[in-house]
Amino acid sequence: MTASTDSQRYRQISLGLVVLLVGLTVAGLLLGSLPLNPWQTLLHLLDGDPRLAVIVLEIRLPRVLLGLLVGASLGLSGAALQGLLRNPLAEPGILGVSASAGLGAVLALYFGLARVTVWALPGCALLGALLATLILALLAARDSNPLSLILAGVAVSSLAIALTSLALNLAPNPLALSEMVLWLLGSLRDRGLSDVALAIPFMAVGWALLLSAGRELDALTLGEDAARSLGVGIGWLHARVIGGTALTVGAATAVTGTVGFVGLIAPHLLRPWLGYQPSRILLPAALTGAALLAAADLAVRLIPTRQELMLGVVTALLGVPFFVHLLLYTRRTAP
Amino acid sequence: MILLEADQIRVALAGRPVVNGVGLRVAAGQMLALLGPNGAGKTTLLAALAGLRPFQGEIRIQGRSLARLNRRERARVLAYLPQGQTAHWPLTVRRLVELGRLPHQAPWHSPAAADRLAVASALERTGIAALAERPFDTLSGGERARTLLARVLAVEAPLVLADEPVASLDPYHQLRVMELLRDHADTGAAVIIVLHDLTLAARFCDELVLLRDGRLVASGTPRSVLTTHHLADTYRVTALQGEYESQRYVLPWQRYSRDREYPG
Repeated sequence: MTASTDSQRYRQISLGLVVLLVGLTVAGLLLGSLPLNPWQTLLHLLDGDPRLAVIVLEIRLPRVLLGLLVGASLGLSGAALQGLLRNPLAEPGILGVSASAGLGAVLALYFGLARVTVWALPGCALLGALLATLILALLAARDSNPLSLILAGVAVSSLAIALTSLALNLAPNPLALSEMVLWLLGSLRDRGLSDVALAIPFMAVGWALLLSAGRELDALTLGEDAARSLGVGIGWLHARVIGGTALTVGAATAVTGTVGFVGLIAPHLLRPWLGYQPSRILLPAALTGAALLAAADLAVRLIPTRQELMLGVVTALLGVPFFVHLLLYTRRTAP
Repeated sequence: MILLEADQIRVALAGRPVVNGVGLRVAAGQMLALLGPNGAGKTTLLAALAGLRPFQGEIRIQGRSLARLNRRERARVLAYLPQGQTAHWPLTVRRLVELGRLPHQAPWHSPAAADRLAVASALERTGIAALAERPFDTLSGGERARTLLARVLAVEAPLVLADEPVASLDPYHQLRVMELLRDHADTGAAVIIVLHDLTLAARFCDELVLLRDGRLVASGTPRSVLTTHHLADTYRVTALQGEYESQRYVLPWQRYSRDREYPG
């Protein structure tokens, strides 16, 4: 494998993922609970059937778009965090950003703010994510050691989960309780284009921050001192990756609830083909994350169950066996 | 031409003074070894010279104050190999060596012709061109050491700072790494290296700086620094010394126990 076939392979895999995403998008728009096959759906749609147009454009389109955006955010931030922390088990959830966003959303539901305006729930979730990031940034400024950052993330995450449990514990009535629990499980159901519009600006800034970190994450392969000797500003790099994760994952959690494991898995699926260089994983990991979530949501919609399965439940059910495999495999190859 | 000049360097780690008023200078084409027992402050001094630890005093590289260089400028004038360097991800040898070109590359640009040339030359000089596509974790210790050294050479910086680059290598590879660094100095670079092997220091280096407890004990040519008195005073050992093919060897032989008097 020489340098040129190396970049050929990168292009082929990226292109393959884009084709897969297009396919999943079309499938997401044409498949669903209606007793129509995709071909009939397409024909009816082209005939200008107004009922079908509403279903496809106002119900399915936002759902598919959000799935792609959220999946890409999780995959990209997972890859960047694994590079920053030099730890293959890192994922966005590890910093406590998702848990804090979840806490913000649960509080919005608990205090009834969510009924006042549709922006209250995602707004509070974003606020929670940003607050967690602020705490992490203050801790990271004192000590940029990866282990300290992971421990700080565990602390933030535990606190957010404890406070979330407290809110559930003190829930005023069973309806509010089920509302909060269902939201926490993560879903793309009944989302509108307003949710897409809310999430996109934060995600776009976050993606730019994360994608700009590639080369510096590569240098971090040599450790912090060697990376600094190569001109990498470690503090600025931390700020971009943590800030980028907060913006992308915070916005994602704000509109879908907590969806785990996509950020962990996406980079690992690519490493056997693309190698371990962090900068070469970033973009493909975003595409893979989008594909994983789009596929998981399609499965959720098509698997006939008494109640629609929650997305977060499905990704966790698929993610845990993978995580265990990863733990065993990593232990085997550790130096 | 003096490449690096350091005056009255003081470094404190967690409030404790580790380097205390050390000065040194190294010219282009010279190889300088920092010597001294464990805990003497060699690694800390080297990291300060690389601009990686806050210090008091003055460090000038090519006549310019180190404190005034921005990150990228600094990364282009000096290449630094930390102690116990390893790779956290099993990148291929080529990808690892390419990291040395980072200070020369604009963001978002793929490697230019000069970068590819520098990488090829570094691979060639360290004799690892045949291993270029191998992942780092499949290499032997000697191959890893040469890969990491190739990464440092690929920077093409006029100043190379290497912290114990021969630690845990077999005798063949110790000599090989020292020869590579010596060759690099002979092409006009300045090399500062932390060493524990006194014979390698005496044979390959022009200038030795001997430290103890963060202070300068002696500096100068190997003959003037590696005296019986200095070895007793710093390392607390006696050594066999001699010459073979008109090159010096220094073989630590016996340590002084606590209750035994040092010779004058």
